[in-house]
This record gives sequence, C-alpha cells and structure tokens, in this order.
Amino acid sequence: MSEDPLPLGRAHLLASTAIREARRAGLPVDTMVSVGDLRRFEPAVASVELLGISPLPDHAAALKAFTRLPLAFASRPISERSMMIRTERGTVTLHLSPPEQAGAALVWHTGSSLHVAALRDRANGRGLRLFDARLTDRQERPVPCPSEDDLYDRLDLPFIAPELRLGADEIECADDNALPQLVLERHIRGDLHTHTTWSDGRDSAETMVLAAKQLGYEYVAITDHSQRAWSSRKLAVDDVPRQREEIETLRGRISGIDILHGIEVDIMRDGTLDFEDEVLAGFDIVLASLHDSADQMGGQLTRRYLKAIRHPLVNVITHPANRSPARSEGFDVDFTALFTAAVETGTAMEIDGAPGHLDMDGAVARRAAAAGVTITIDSDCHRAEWLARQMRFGIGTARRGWIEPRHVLNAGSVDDVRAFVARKRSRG
Amino acid sequence: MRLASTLLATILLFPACHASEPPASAPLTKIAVTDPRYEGFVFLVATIRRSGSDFVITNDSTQPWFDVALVLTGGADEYWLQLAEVNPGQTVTAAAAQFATRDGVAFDARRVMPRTLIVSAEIGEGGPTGAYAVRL
Repeated sequence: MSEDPLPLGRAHLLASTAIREARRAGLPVDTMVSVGDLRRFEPAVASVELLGISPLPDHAAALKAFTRLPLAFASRPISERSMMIRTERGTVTLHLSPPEQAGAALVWHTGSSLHVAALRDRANGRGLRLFDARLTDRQERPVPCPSEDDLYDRLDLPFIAPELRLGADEIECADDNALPQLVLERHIRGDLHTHTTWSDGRDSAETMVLAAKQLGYEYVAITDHSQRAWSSRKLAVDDVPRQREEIETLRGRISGIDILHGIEVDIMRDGTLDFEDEVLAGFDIVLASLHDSADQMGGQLTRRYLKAIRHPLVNVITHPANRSPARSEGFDVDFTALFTAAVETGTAMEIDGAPGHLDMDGAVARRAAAAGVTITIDSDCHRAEWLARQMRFGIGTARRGWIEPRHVLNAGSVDDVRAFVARKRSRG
Repeated sequence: MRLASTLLATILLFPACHASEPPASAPLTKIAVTDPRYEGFVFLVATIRRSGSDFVITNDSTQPWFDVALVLTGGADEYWLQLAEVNPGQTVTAAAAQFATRDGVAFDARRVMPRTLIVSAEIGEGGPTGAYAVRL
C-alpha cells in the first residue's frame, strides 16, 4: 500500500478529516493527534499517521470503528494496535497507546527512524528498553511514561520539539543544553506576504486586513504580484496609486492594525525588477520573487537573485527555491552566495508557509540563520480563511530550521520592520 | 461513500480518449463567470471539450489543481462532482451521469438540458483559487 508522498497541506487535510470523522463516529479514544511526518512538518509526507490514546480494553473496538469511517474504502491491520485505512486521498494509519505509555508512543511514532534509534540506544545504556512504542525495564516491565517529557526525562534529556526529531544533531545538542528556543505562533506579530484581488488573491484588501486583525496581528503587508509576474492576475503599474489610495482609506477605517503597502515584484530574466525604482520606492516594503526560471540554470538564477538582493529597494527574497514539495525540488541556486549577499545588504529571506512552497525549507533556513540572515515567516496567503493555517505551516517549517524569534523580522514590531526597510534604503 | 470513491477513482484513471467513446469536440468557448460565489477567483488555464455525454477537462497550466469542483447547471438545479486533484497537463473525463445535486439527485440528461459547466479549483497548494466556465 505504499504510495507517493503527499504534500504537507494535503496530508494535513486528510488527517484532519480522519480525526473529525473519528470524533463523529465516537471512536473510544480520549485523544487523537497527528504523529510522524505530519507532526514534524515534513514538506512531503510519506504516510499520514495518527495516534489515539485509549485504555487497552478499548483498542479492538477503536480499530474496528476506524475501518468503518466514511472516508475509508479498504483497511489492513498492521498490528494489534495499528490499523491502516485506504481513502481516495491516500492511506491513514491509526496507532493506539494506553495512557500510561502515551509519551513513549508519541515519541516513537513522531521521531524519524534515526531519532528513535538514537533514543533506543540511549535507553539501553540506562537499563531500559524503548521498543514498539513502549518503555520497559530489561525484564519487560512497563515503565510509566504518560508524557513525552517523562520519556525524555527517563533518558536524561530535555524535551526535544517534534520538528527537531530528525536524527541529525538534536540529541547531541540536547545533551549539551544547546537546543534552540524555537519560534512559536505567539511570537509572530505580523504577516509580510499576502495577496488580494488587486492580483491573484481571492479576497479584498479589507477582508485580508480584517482577518489579520482577527488573528491578533499588529500589522499586515499587502503584497500583490507585479505586472509581469508569473501569476494569473497582476497589479498593473497604473493601478498602484489606486491601490495605495484604498490602503490609505483602510488605514483610516480599521484601527488596531498597521497596514503596510507592499509589493511582490518579479525578478526578471536579467535580474532587473518588474517595476521601476520610482514605483518601488513608493511601497512600504518590497518583496522580490523569482517565479519563472526562463529555462536558466543554477548559476544564472543565482546571479539574478544576487542582483535583486543588491538592489537597495528589495527587502525580502521570497520562497527562494520556488519549490513545490513532493513535486519539484525547485531551483538549484547557490544559497551560500545568497546568504552572504543578504547579510551584507540587509536583505531578509523568507520562509513561505504556503504548502505549495514551504520554502526556504528547514535545512536551508537553518543555514541562513547560522549565516546571520534575517528571516521572515509569512503566509503568502491568497485567501483570508487560510491566513492562520499557512502561517502555522511557515512556523513549523521555521522550527525545522531551528529558527528562534530573534532571527525573525516579523517577530518584531512594525517599527522594527520599517527600520529594517529604511536601513537598506539609506545605504543607497 | 464506497461507491463515490470508486467513481472518483474511475474518473481519475479513465483515459481521456477511449476507443469506444465518441471523439471529443473542439474546445468549448469560455464564458465569463458572473456568479458572485466566484468573485475574486482568477481564471484557470484549461480546456473543456465534450465527448458524447462526457466532459473532457484538461489542466493546461503548470500547476496542479486541488479540490476541483465541477458544477453543471441545468434547469433550476446545480449538479456537482468533486475531484481531489488534476495535475498539470492531465486530462480527466467526467460523465454527466456522475454529477449530482447536493441532495444526491443524479443528473439525468434525458430530463435536463445542461447549460453551463463551471470548473473551480485551488491552483497549487495554498495558491490562488481559479474558475473556468463554458456554455454547453
């Protein structure tokens, strides 16, 4: 039943549907959560896995009820505590754990195989056995482990966030008390990348601003596509003054949130920008994007980016690989060169939360932050109802990159954002 | 649900040009989508043809479509068909009989004359939402 990986967004929808149907069907489980790739915010999800917490005597009934969910059209038992169902959108596996082993099960089913193997070795060294989602002593007597904190504590480790459980260097860093203080949703004070009906967004600027305010943001940037952008609807240069006027009206009408008039300007084939400098200078913030490779290869694409990064009016490079998780790896650009230029010029680089991007990805973002690049985490949202969802994906991706609030421009105030823009402009 | 799933799988896997099917028509003419429910939608890059009572829909863009909704209007009713995904360049065939109202009443070509077909979808993951309409 192995299948192609699902993009994170699709996998998330599938898991949400399965959990919703399980609740409606009254499955005898106290808690049901996503685990595995989904909980680690893997951009391409190899398998959608859920963990249900319920007392052992309820397991058989829970698994049976799971096979009868409306979305299931076939099922296959994996073990006494796991069942896989096939749906029209991919497979979903439900694992079950009794409450007293929930922590061990969460860690077991969430971590990558490398992470779990390292923990297993660590347990062995402490006279314990971490096996099959349970922690026992050497005589196979269960060691109570109701929470993940308990499990890590038994292994003399601090809690390791799910997004870090990749089997890279997280356990070593945990041992050295060198884990990052990861960025959280509550740290994000504004969204710097949104689209409206002025380009290819579905909702008006007013709707987007009100939705951003509803989320508790202190500011939002409206950043529509420039006139030759690779999108189906664009902002014509002649419409920029009218858009500015509308935003000015909204500023007067909607209190409690600052509205930045921004632009997502396309980087053209020769590295120039789609709007003239005098037009760009009128925006509060300028995002630059390379949507169309124009059949150019890595070196040429890198040069296009570098030219844009060195432009005094460009503040953020969006989704730099222009990748599509589970579908395309994106551009083969020289990130080291981009990071160096970004730091030198005071240009931020984006982690784009649109599930069709999730770009920079975690590994690249970690390198960027280590190089001293300022990061933005944005939704790149095209409809108000998904502002929060896409920001969550962006934050999950950032956490995979060990990003802390101190790295993130939009974890700062609107004055910090304005100062960031002004600094680069003043350099000329 | 099982039947619906099987139908969907059949639609997605069914080759666009089947030997026993009548040949597909020329591309149908695109019309403006004036329905306010599609306000703010961009245009999908698509081609829609007819092949007998089937609708042959091609995603002519370089982006996948997700949550694809096909809405057939005829008489006073709307008949829906939902597809999970149509990949770039992919052609899918949907038979008129597979459309149904929200109440589950199947489209009956002997009783109802189809007037328009509207295809809407999310373009790429988290991308814009688009629509494409043709008069039948």
